[in-house]
Amino acid sequence: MRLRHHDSLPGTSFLLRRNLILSEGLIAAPAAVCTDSVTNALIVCFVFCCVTALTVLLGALIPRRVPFAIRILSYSVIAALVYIPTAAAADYLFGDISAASLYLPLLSGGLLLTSAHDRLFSARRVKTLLGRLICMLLGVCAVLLGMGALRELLGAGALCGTKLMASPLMPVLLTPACGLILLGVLCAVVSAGIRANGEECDADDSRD
Amino acid sequence: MTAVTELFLVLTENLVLTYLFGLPGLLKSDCQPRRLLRVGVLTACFIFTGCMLLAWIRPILPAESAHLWIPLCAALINGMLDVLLILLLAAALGKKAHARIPEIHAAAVSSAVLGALLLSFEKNDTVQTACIFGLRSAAGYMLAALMLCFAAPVLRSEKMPAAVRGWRGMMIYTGLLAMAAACLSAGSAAS
Repeated sequence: MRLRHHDSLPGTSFLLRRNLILSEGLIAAPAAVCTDSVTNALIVCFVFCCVTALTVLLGALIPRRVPFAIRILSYSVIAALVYIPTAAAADYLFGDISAASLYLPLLSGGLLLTSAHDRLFSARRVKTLLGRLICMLLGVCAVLLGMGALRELLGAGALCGTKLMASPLMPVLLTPACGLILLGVLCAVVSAGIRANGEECDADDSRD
Repeated sequence: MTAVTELFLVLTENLVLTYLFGLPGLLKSDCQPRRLLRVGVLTACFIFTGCMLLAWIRPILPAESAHLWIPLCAALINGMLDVLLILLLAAALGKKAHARIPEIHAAAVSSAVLGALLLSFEKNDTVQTACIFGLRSAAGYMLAALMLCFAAPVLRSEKMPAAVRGWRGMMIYTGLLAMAAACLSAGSAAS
Protein backbone atom coordinates (compact mmCIF):
# COMPACT_ATOMS: atom_id res chain seq x y z
CA MET A 1 0.00 0.00 0.00
CA ARG A 2 1.43 3.40 -0.94
CA LEU A 3 1.34 6.43 1.30
CA ARG A 4 -1.42 8.76 0.14
CA HIS A 5 -1.38 12.51 0.05
CA HIS A 6 -4.32 14.33 1.61
CA ASP A 7 -4.91 17.58 -0.20
CA SER A 8 -7.34 18.93 2.37
CA LEU A 9 -4.97 18.57 5.33
CA PRO A 10 -1.81 20.63 4.99
CA GLY A 11 1.27 19.23 6.74
CA THR A 12 0.07 15.65 7.23
CA SER A 13 3.46 14.43 5.99
CA PHE A 14 4.90 15.69 9.30
CA LEU A 15 2.99 12.95 11.14
CA LEU A 16 5.27 10.19 9.85
CA ARG A 17 7.12 10.78 6.57
CA ARG A 18 8.73 14.02 7.79
CA ASN A 19 8.37 13.30 11.50
CA LEU A 20 10.75 15.58 13.39
CA ILE A 21 12.19 12.73 15.47
CA LEU A 22 12.01 9.72 13.16
CA SER A 23 12.81 11.40 9.84
CA GLU A 24 14.73 14.53 10.83
CA GLY A 25 16.65 13.25 13.89
CA LEU A 26 15.76 16.35 15.94
CA ILE A 27 15.25 16.45 19.76
CA ALA A 28 17.09 13.13 19.96
CA ALA A 29 18.45 13.60 23.50
CA PRO A 30 15.12 14.25 25.30
CA ALA A 31 13.49 11.52 23.19
CA ALA A 32 16.16 8.97 24.14
CA VAL A 33 16.63 9.89 27.79
CA CYS A 34 13.29 11.14 29.11
CA THR A 35 11.00 8.51 27.60
CA ASP A 36 11.75 5.85 30.23
CA SER A 37 8.13 6.07 31.42
CA VAL A 38 4.82 7.34 30.09
CA THR A 39 4.68 10.05 32.78
CA ASN A 40 8.11 11.43 31.86
CA ALA A 41 7.19 11.27 28.17
CA LEU A 42 4.02 13.22 28.95
CA ILE A 43 6.04 15.95 30.71
CA VAL A 44 8.33 16.25 27.67
CA CYS A 45 5.28 16.36 25.35
CA PHE A 46 3.67 19.14 27.39
CA VAL A 47 6.78 21.33 27.47
CA PHE A 48 7.62 20.63 23.82
CA CYS A 49 4.10 21.47 22.58
CA CYS A 50 3.83 24.70 24.60
CA VAL A 51 7.33 25.98 23.79
CA THR A 52 7.25 25.04 20.11
CA ALA A 53 3.72 26.28 19.39
CA LEU A 54 4.17 29.63 21.12
CA THR A 55 7.66 30.20 19.68
CA VAL A 56 6.54 29.40 16.13
CA LEU A 57 3.47 31.63 16.37
CA LEU A 58 5.39 34.53 17.92
CA GLY A 59 8.34 33.94 15.57
CA ALA A 60 6.01 34.27 12.59
CA LEU A 61 5.61 37.94 13.51
CA ILE A 62 9.30 38.65 12.83
CA PRO A 63 9.63 40.11 9.31
CA ARG A 64 11.58 38.11 6.72
CA ARG A 65 13.75 41.10 5.82
CA VAL A 66 15.46 40.88 9.24
CA PRO A 67 18.93 39.28 8.73
CA PHE A 68 19.06 35.53 9.38
CA ALA A 69 21.59 35.80 12.25
CA ILE A 70 19.33 38.25 14.10
CA ARG A 71 16.24 36.12 13.38
CA ILE A 72 17.94 33.05 14.87
CA LEU A 73 18.85 35.04 17.97
CA SER A 74 15.26 36.30 18.22
CA TYR A 75 13.82 32.78 17.94
CA SER A 76 16.20 31.58 20.69
CA VAL A 77 15.24 34.44 22.99
CA ILE A 78 11.49 33.93 22.36
CA ALA A 79 11.80 30.19 23.07
CA ALA A 80 13.80 30.84 26.24
CA LEU A 81 11.23 33.37 27.45
CA VAL A 82 8.33 31.01 26.68
CA TYR A 83 10.17 28.22 28.51
CA ILE A 84 10.05 30.07 31.87
CA PRO A 85 6.23 29.98 32.41
CA THR A 86 5.98 26.60 30.65
CA ALA A 87 8.46 24.93 33.03
CA ALA A 88 6.72 26.53 36.00
CA ALA A 89 3.36 25.23 34.72
CA ALA A 90 4.81 21.72 34.17
CA ASP A 91 6.18 21.74 37.71
CA TYR A 92 2.73 22.73 39.02
CA LEU A 93 0.79 20.22 36.89
CA PHE A 94 3.02 17.16 37.18
CA GLY A 95 4.37 17.71 40.69
CA ASP A 96 7.92 16.51 40.25
CA ILE A 97 9.74 17.13 36.97
CA SER A 98 13.23 16.54 38.35
CA ALA A 99 13.66 13.32 36.32
CA ALA A 100 13.54 15.31 33.09
CA SER A 101 14.69 18.70 34.40
CA LEU A 102 18.09 18.63 32.69
CA TYR A 103 16.55 17.89 29.29
CA LEU A 104 13.48 20.13 29.32
CA PRO A 105 15.45 23.35 28.69
CA LEU A 106 16.90 21.71 25.57
CA LEU A 107 13.41 21.83 24.06
CA SER A 108 13.68 25.62 24.03
CA GLY A 109 16.92 25.56 22.05
CA GLY A 110 18.46 23.31 19.46
CA LEU A 111 18.08 23.26 15.72
CA LEU A 112 14.28 22.97 15.52
CA LEU A 113 13.39 26.44 16.78
CA THR A 114 16.41 28.17 15.27
CA SER A 115 18.31 26.94 12.20
CA ALA A 116 15.51 24.67 10.96
CA HIS A 117 12.77 27.18 11.85
CA ASP A 118 12.63 28.92 8.48
CA ARG A 119 12.77 25.65 6.55
CA LEU A 120 9.98 24.01 8.54
CA PHE A 121 7.73 26.96 9.31
CA SER A 122 8.08 29.06 6.19
CA ALA A 123 4.39 28.89 5.26
CA ARG A 124 2.81 32.21 4.32
CA ARG A 125 -0.78 30.99 4.76
CA VAL A 126 -2.02 30.79 8.34
CA LYS A 127 -3.93 27.57 7.58
CA THR A 128 -0.80 25.87 6.23
CA LEU A 129 1.34 27.05 9.14
CA LEU A 130 -1.19 25.85 11.71
CA GLY A 131 -1.69 22.56 9.86
CA ARG A 132 2.06 21.90 9.81
CA LEU A 133 2.46 22.89 13.43
CA ILE A 134 -0.38 20.69 14.68
CA CYS A 135 0.77 17.70 12.62
CA MET A 136 4.38 18.16 13.78
CA LEU A 137 3.34 18.30 17.43
CA LEU A 138 1.05 15.27 17.05
CA GLY A 139 3.79 13.30 15.28
CA VAL A 140 6.38 14.09 17.96
CA CYS A 141 3.97 13.38 20.84
CA ALA A 142 2.97 10.04 19.30
CA VAL A 143 6.62 8.98 19.04
CA LEU A 144 7.49 10.16 22.57
CA LEU A 145 4.46 8.51 24.18
CA GLY A 146 4.92 5.32 22.14
CA MET A 147 8.55 5.07 23.20
CA GLY A 148 7.62 5.83 26.80
CA ALA A 149 4.97 3.10 26.85
CA LEU A 150 7.25 0.52 25.17
CA ARG A 151 10.24 1.23 27.41
CA GLU A 152 8.18 1.30 30.61
CA LEU A 153 6.38 -1.92 29.67
CA LEU A 154 9.49 -3.89 28.67
CA GLY A 155 11.96 -2.18 31.01
CA ALA A 156 9.91 -1.90 34.20
CA GLY A 157 7.01 -4.28 33.51
CA ALA A 158 4.54 -1.46 34.14
CA LEU A 159 2.39 1.03 32.27
CA CYS A 160 1.59 4.52 33.59
CA GLY A 161 2.96 3.38 36.96
CA THR A 162 0.68 0.31 37.18
CA LYS A 163 2.61 -2.95 37.55
CA LEU A 164 1.63 -5.42 34.80
CA MET A 165 4.44 -7.99 34.92
CA ALA A 166 6.03 -9.76 37.87
CA SER A 167 9.51 -9.21 36.46
CA PRO A 168 10.50 -6.83 33.65
CA LEU A 169 11.62 -8.41 30.38
CA MET A 170 14.41 -5.94 29.43
CA PRO A 171 15.44 -3.61 32.28
CA VAL A 172 18.36 -2.36 30.16
CA LEU A 173 15.82 -0.53 27.96
CA LEU A 174 15.50 2.11 30.67
CA THR A 175 19.09 3.32 30.15
CA PRO A 176 19.70 6.40 27.95
CA ALA A 177 22.06 4.45 25.65
CA CYS A 178 19.41 1.80 24.98
CA GLY A 179 16.85 4.57 24.45
CA LEU A 180 19.09 6.00 21.72
CA ILE A 181 19.59 2.58 20.10
CA LEU A 182 15.80 1.98 20.19
CA LEU A 183 15.26 5.42 18.64
CA GLY A 184 17.82 4.68 15.92
CA VAL A 185 16.12 1.36 15.14
CA LEU A 186 12.70 3.07 14.99
CA CYS A 187 14.13 5.68 12.60
CA ALA A 188 15.56 2.91 10.42
CA VAL A 189 12.26 1.00 10.38
CA VAL A 190 10.31 4.12 9.39
CA SER A 191 12.92 4.95 6.72
CA ALA A 192 12.68 1.41 5.31
CA GLY A 193 8.88 1.61 5.33
CA ILE A 194 8.90 4.94 3.48
CA ARG A 195 11.39 3.62 0.92
CA ALA A 196 9.25 0.52 0.39
CA ASN A 197 6.25 2.77 -0.29
CA GLY A 198 8.16 4.98 -2.74
CA GLU A 199 9.49 8.49 -2.08
CA GLU A 200 6.65 10.82 -2.95
CA CYS A 201 6.89 14.49 -2.07
CA ASP A 202 3.68 15.86 -0.61
CA ALA A 203 2.49 18.92 -2.43
CA ASP A 204 1.40 20.58 0.81
CA ASP A 205 5.04 20.91 1.89
CA SER A 206 5.77 23.43 -0.81
CA ARG A 207 2.35 24.97 -1.00
CA ASP A 208 2.49 28.20 0.94
CA MET B 1 48.80 8.54 35.98
CA THR B 2 46.48 11.46 36.78
CA ALA B 3 46.54 12.54 33.12
CA VAL B 4 45.63 9.00 31.99
CA THR B 5 42.77 8.86 34.51
CA GLU B 6 41.54 12.28 33.37
CA LEU B 7 41.65 11.22 29.70
CA PHE B 8 39.74 8.03 30.57
CA LEU B 9 37.09 10.08 32.38
CA VAL B 10 36.82 12.59 29.52
CA LEU B 11 36.41 9.68 27.08
CA THR B 12 33.80 7.79 29.10
CA GLU B 13 31.90 10.66 30.72
CA ASN B 14 31.26 13.42 28.24
CA LEU B 15 28.44 15.51 26.84
CA VAL B 16 27.75 13.22 23.87
CA LEU B 17 28.19 9.71 25.28
CA THR B 18 26.89 10.26 28.82
CA TYR B 19 24.22 12.94 28.41
CA LEU B 20 23.54 12.56 24.64
CA PHE B 21 23.62 16.35 24.24
CA GLY B 22 24.25 17.87 20.83
CA LEU B 23 23.31 14.77 18.85
CA PRO B 24 21.18 16.49 16.15
CA GLY B 25 24.11 18.80 15.34
CA LEU B 26 26.47 15.86 14.90
CA LEU B 27 23.89 13.74 13.08
CA LYS B 28 23.08 16.57 10.67
CA SER B 29 26.71 16.92 9.60
CA ASP B 30 25.90 14.25 7.01
CA CYS B 31 28.59 11.90 8.40
CA GLN B 32 31.26 13.93 6.57
CA PRO B 33 34.45 13.72 8.67
CA ARG B 34 35.67 17.27 7.89
CA ARG B 35 32.27 18.80 8.62
CA LEU B 36 31.99 16.74 11.81
CA LEU B 37 35.37 18.07 12.93
CA ARG B 38 34.42 21.68 12.14
CA VAL B 39 31.13 21.29 14.07
CA GLY B 40 33.11 19.73 16.94
CA VAL B 41 35.67 22.55 17.09
CA LEU B 42 33.06 25.32 16.83
CA THR B 43 30.78 23.74 19.44
CA ALA B 44 33.76 23.22 21.77
CA CYS B 45 34.58 26.96 21.47
CA PHE B 46 30.99 27.91 22.34
CA ILE B 47 30.93 25.46 25.27
CA PHE B 48 34.12 26.80 26.85
CA THR B 49 33.25 30.49 26.39
CA GLY B 50 29.61 29.97 27.45
CA CYS B 51 30.54 28.15 30.69
CA MET B 52 32.98 30.93 31.56
CA LEU B 53 30.53 33.77 30.86
CA LEU B 54 27.62 32.04 32.65
CA ALA B 55 29.73 31.64 35.79
CA TRP B 56 30.61 35.33 35.53
CA ILE B 57 26.96 36.50 35.42
CA ARG B 58 25.74 33.84 37.89
CA PRO B 59 25.64 36.21 40.93
CA ILE B 60 23.06 38.49 39.27
CA LEU B 61 20.57 35.66 38.57
CA PRO B 62 17.69 35.15 41.05
CA ALA B 63 18.80 32.34 43.38
CA GLU B 64 15.49 30.44 43.64
CA SER B 65 14.52 30.36 39.98
CA ALA B 66 17.98 30.54 38.38
CA HIS B 67 17.51 27.26 36.49
CA LEU B 68 14.55 28.78 34.61
CA TRP B 69 16.67 31.69 33.38
CA ILE B 70 19.60 29.64 32.04
CA PRO B 71 18.08 29.07 28.56
CA LEU B 72 17.60 32.84 28.23
CA CYS B 73 21.16 33.53 29.41
CA ALA B 74 22.44 30.85 27.01
CA ALA B 75 20.46 32.35 24.11
CA LEU B 76 21.86 35.82 24.76
CA ILE B 77 25.46 34.67 25.37
CA ASN B 78 25.53 32.37 22.36
CA GLY B 79 23.74 34.90 20.17
CA MET B 80 26.36 37.56 20.91
CA LEU B 81 29.21 35.08 20.41
CA ASP B 82 27.60 33.94 17.16
CA VAL B 83 27.48 37.48 15.75
CA LEU B 84 31.01 38.25 17.02
CA LEU B 85 32.44 35.09 15.47
CA ILE B 86 30.75 35.79 12.12
CA LEU B 87 32.13 39.35 12.07
CA LEU B 88 35.64 38.09 12.93
CA LEU B 89 35.45 35.37 10.29
CA ALA B 90 34.16 37.82 7.68
CA ALA B 91 37.03 40.18 8.48
CA ALA B 92 39.57 37.36 8.23
CA LEU B 93 38.27 35.37 5.25
CA GLY B 94 36.13 37.84 3.33
CA LYS B 95 33.58 36.21 1.00
CA LYS B 96 34.90 32.73 1.83
CA ALA B 97 33.34 33.12 5.29
CA HIS B 98 29.79 32.77 3.86
CA ALA B 99 30.17 29.01 3.48
CA ARG B 100 30.99 28.65 7.18
CA ILE B 101 28.22 30.86 8.58
CA PRO B 102 25.52 28.13 8.77
CA GLU B 103 27.94 25.93 10.72
CA ILE B 104 28.56 28.76 13.20
CA HIS B 105 24.79 29.23 13.64
CA ALA B 106 24.34 25.47 14.15
CA ALA B 107 27.09 25.41 16.79
CA ALA B 108 25.64 28.48 18.56
CA VAL B 109 22.20 26.92 18.95
CA SER B 110 23.48 23.38 19.57
CA SER B 111 21.88 21.63 22.51
CA ALA B 112 25.40 20.54 23.49
CA VAL B 113 26.20 24.14 24.42
CA LEU B 114 22.94 24.65 26.34
CA GLY B 115 23.38 21.27 28.03
CA ALA B 116 26.95 22.09 29.02
CA LEU B 117 25.80 25.41 30.49
CA LEU B 118 23.07 23.67 32.50
CA LEU B 119 25.53 21.10 33.84
CA SER B 120 28.11 23.79 34.55
CA PHE B 121 25.54 25.80 36.49
CA GLU B 122 24.65 22.74 38.59
CA LYS B 123 28.21 21.69 39.31
CA ASN B 124 30.25 24.88 39.56
CA ASP B 125 30.14 27.94 41.77
CA THR B 126 33.19 29.92 40.69
CA VAL B 127 34.49 31.20 37.37
CA GLN B 128 37.66 29.12 37.78
CA THR B 129 35.86 25.78 38.27
CA ALA B 130 33.44 26.67 35.46
CA CYS B 131 36.40 27.31 33.13
CA ILE B 132 37.90 23.93 33.98
CA PHE B 133 34.50 22.27 33.51
CA GLY B 134 34.04 24.08 30.19
CA LEU B 135 37.46 22.99 28.99
CA ARG B 136 36.81 19.39 30.04
CA SER B 137 33.36 19.34 28.41
CA ALA B 138 34.74 20.87 25.22
CA ALA B 139 37.54 18.26 25.12
CA GLY B 140 35.01 15.46 25.72
CA TYR B 141 32.77 16.76 22.94
CA MET B 142 35.74 16.96 20.56
CA LEU B 143 36.82 13.40 21.43
CA ALA B 144 33.30 12.09 20.85
CA ALA B 145 33.15 13.94 17.51
CA LEU B 146 36.51 12.38 16.58
CA MET B 147 35.22 8.90 17.47
CA LEU B 148 32.24 9.49 15.18
CA CYS B 149 34.61 10.80 12.47
CA PHE B 150 36.43 7.46 12.34
CA ALA B 151 33.18 5.57 11.70
CA ALA B 152 31.60 8.19 9.43
CA PRO B 153 33.00 6.94 6.08
CA VAL B 154 31.67 3.43 6.72
CA LEU B 155 28.32 4.64 8.04
CA ARG B 156 27.62 6.64 4.87
CA SER B 157 29.04 4.06 2.43
CA GLU B 158 27.09 1.79 0.11
CA LYS B 159 28.00 -1.16 2.36
CA MET B 160 25.37 0.01 4.84
CA PRO B 161 21.73 -0.93 4.19
CA ALA B 162 19.83 2.10 2.86
CA ALA B 163 17.56 2.28 5.92
CA VAL B 164 20.45 2.79 8.36
CA ARG B 165 22.85 4.65 6.07
CA GLY B 166 24.00 8.07 7.29
CA TRP B 167 22.66 9.73 10.44
CA ARG B 168 20.41 6.80 11.42
CA GLY B 169 23.40 4.45 11.53
CA MET B 170 25.33 7.11 13.41
CA MET B 171 22.54 7.29 15.99
CA ILE B 172 22.72 3.54 16.61
CA TYR B 173 26.54 3.65 16.64
CA THR B 174 26.48 6.51 19.19
CA GLY B 175 24.08 4.47 21.32
CA LEU B 176 26.50 1.53 21.28
CA LEU B 177 29.42 3.83 22.18
CA ALA B 178 27.34 5.36 24.97
CA MET B 179 26.57 1.90 26.33
CA ALA B 180 30.25 0.93 26.21
CA ALA B 181 31.21 4.20 27.97
CA ALA B 182 28.57 3.61 30.65
CA CYS B 183 29.85 0.06 31.23
CA LEU B 184 33.48 1.27 31.41
CA SER B 185 32.75 4.11 33.83
CA ALA B 186 30.54 1.86 35.98
CA GLY B 187 33.25 -0.81 35.97
CA SER B 188 35.94 1.68 36.99
CA ALA B 189 33.68 3.08 39.74
CA ALA B 190 33.01 -0.43 41.07
CA SER B 191 36.70 -1.34 41.16
